[in-house]
Amino acid sequence: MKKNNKLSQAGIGAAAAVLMGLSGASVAGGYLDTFNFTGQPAFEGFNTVELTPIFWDKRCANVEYTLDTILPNEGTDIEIDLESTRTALQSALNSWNVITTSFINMNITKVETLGNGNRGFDFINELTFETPETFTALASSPSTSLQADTQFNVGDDIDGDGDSDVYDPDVEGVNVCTDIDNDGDIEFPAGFYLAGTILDNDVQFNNRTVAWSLEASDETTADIEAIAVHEFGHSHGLSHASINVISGADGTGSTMFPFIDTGDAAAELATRTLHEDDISWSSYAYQEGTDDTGIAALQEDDEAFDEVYALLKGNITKPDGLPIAGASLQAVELGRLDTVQVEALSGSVRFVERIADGALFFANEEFAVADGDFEIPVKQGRYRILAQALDGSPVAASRVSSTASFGNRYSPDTFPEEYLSRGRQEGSVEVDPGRGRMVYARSGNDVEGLNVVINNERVLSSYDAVEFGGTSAVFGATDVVYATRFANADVLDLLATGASITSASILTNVFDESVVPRFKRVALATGKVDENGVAQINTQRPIRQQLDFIAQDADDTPFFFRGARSVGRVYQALLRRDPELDLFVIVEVDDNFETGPGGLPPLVAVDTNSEFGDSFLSLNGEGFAPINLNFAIQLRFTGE
Amino acid sequence: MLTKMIKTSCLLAGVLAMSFANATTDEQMDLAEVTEASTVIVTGEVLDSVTVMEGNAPLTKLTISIEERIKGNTPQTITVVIPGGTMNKGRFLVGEVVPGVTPVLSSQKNLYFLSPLAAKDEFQVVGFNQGQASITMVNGEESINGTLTNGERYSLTEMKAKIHAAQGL
Repeated sequence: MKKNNKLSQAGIGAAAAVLMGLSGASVAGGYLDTFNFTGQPAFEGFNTVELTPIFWDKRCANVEYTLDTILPNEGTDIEIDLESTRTALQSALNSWNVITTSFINMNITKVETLGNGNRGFDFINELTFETPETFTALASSPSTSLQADTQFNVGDDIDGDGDSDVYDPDVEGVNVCTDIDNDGDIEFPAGFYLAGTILDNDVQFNNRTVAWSLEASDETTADIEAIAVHEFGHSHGLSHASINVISGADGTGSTMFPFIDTGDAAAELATRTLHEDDISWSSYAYQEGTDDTGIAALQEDDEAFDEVYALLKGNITKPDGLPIAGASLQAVELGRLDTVQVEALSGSVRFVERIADGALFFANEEFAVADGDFEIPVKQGRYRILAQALDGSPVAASRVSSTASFGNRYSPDTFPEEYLSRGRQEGSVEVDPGRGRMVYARSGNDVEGLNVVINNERVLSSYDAVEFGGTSAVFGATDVVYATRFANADVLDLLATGASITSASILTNVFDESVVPRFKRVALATGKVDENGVAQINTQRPIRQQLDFIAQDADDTPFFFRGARSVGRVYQALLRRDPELDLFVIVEVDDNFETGPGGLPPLVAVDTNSEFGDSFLSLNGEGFAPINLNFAIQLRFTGE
Repeated sequence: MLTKMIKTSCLLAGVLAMSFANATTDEQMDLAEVTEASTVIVTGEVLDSVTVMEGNAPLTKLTISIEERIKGNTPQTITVVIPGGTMNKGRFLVGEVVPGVTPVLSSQKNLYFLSPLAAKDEFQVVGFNQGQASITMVNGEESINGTLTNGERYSLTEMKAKIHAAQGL
């Protein structure tokens, strides 16, 4: 057995407590967030600074955008005209506007040659195909928001351009954000506004290095409408989400997933179409039916948020009991196919500010991570709750929100994916982390107490660090099976500590974003490596197997072993009796795999640089030959 | 912020091994690609951050004290510029949030993959924030995790070895 198998353990010791919690927490949800310097005293000379979601105030939730006249692909032979551009962008806005349970409404109300250089904080909500030279993304949607609770008085010049940004609603007879004096920028009605209130949002599209298109296609042009629907989610205040495979029948993800495969028309079309996750968070932020009059009052075709949605409420903690901020909690709807519906982020994070100079400091963990609470808005149905770390596969916390990013600083260990279990089965040593409790959500009724404790886990890993996204057999091969060996002695060492074997995990990918990463079979089996270095694996009588295995894209896919405790007991005895006998995890490719434009099967990630010797490959029904790669496959255990 | 994912391929040892992005900078990038796209790779601690305005848009300038140079040469102190930041507008305290770019605080220690800007000793993070990773202490050892490590936690020593391997060193 090679030496680079590594043993790691989730869970971190508690940091010494210095400060006590002082203020209430807000649910991170699926929101972008900003500092709230409103400030409550932490201790002498220091204030508490929290993170708060950004959002449009109800007075301003009828958002008016100005379209700049710079054309997509301007000056090229694929230049797109202004009217077509406006139509595509308004169609993207309408994707959000038609949500019946969300009151926010966003429209292009002006088309102007702004000529103001690059966009910024000027109370003009600008849509532009102008970006600075240093801009490297496809598009971006920066928002300027308040960082403290603030009273706006008539005549206030907030952006410092010499022009009043605040009007008197009593004088004007209206109480909404609009260009009240027709001078080209938006004025706010005088009044009180909370920290997090968005004052200005611009969406900028990269016209320097991106070729834009009005249609989704398998070419690498970027579909304006798809990209715009995503960016307008940020314009709401929504964060990125990590959902990139919805179900075994749908390999696409949430519109708010941060990456797009512009060479896959189906993926672009899916980004145009809001997923339930996008709809739920827009609805949660802008709850229809919460007022009797105004934009949040029910109008024709509206539905009251609280008559459609239920909130699944709980928290997530580490084995030592400390809360986790920035974990992903997904509501997976049970049905003929399990379907990932809505993802929430856990917890809230806070800092301390030195009052004398406004400098911000990190606090110790027990103060900084105020809680690990979450709320998931879901429609009526039966769900399981899946907890996982925003560990970079498929999305890093730093790309999601400040709460997730800073939470990751305090809860830095990656932790294994697991389902919320029933009652006392939920804990830090779960031998069956794949068996989730069913949660029934009834519209208008919240479900509370869905508290997750992450599993204390030990890992035998066959690889060191993944260098390539995946492997596929050489062209023309059939019956491709990947296998990874876990040596007798390493497995016995762990079982001897009282640990239970729970699952395998396989880092899987798919070449085309819209394709479901589906394998013919995964299995745990026994086997031996013969004198020629070929693995003789008992594939016909596996210990555990799963047929038609739906994997994940750019993420570790767990293969949970049912009856895990008995697996350990039975095979501990077998392994002891025969020191030559090892455990193998095998992954079989389906020769009839679904393809996208790339035409390639689902992939298992590989490490090409470490010491080799435990990975084997079978092609065309032949034996398992050793290969100078390490497949990214792990065997997982739990124990005290 | 939305970035692009394009998939390229290369043949390796009889098995097709695929990387999920290519080497331009507006796409999802892996470790090899951010390494190649970087002029400078360093670890360093944030000494100070200030917000400056470029037109009407804020930029945050981080003063970084270099702890180690992994690729390229830099002075002991450099400036890393990231979009967004907090603006003091008289009695109004406002901030610009840029999706995909999270704020950085003083004393934070990071690994940076950087490309130069026009101003002397100023850099931006490669791949719209993809080339920045927070360094945290786990069990007494400096470590990193994130997209560049495929969700695994590497010690900083392991990470540097991976960067060197990506450089072909």
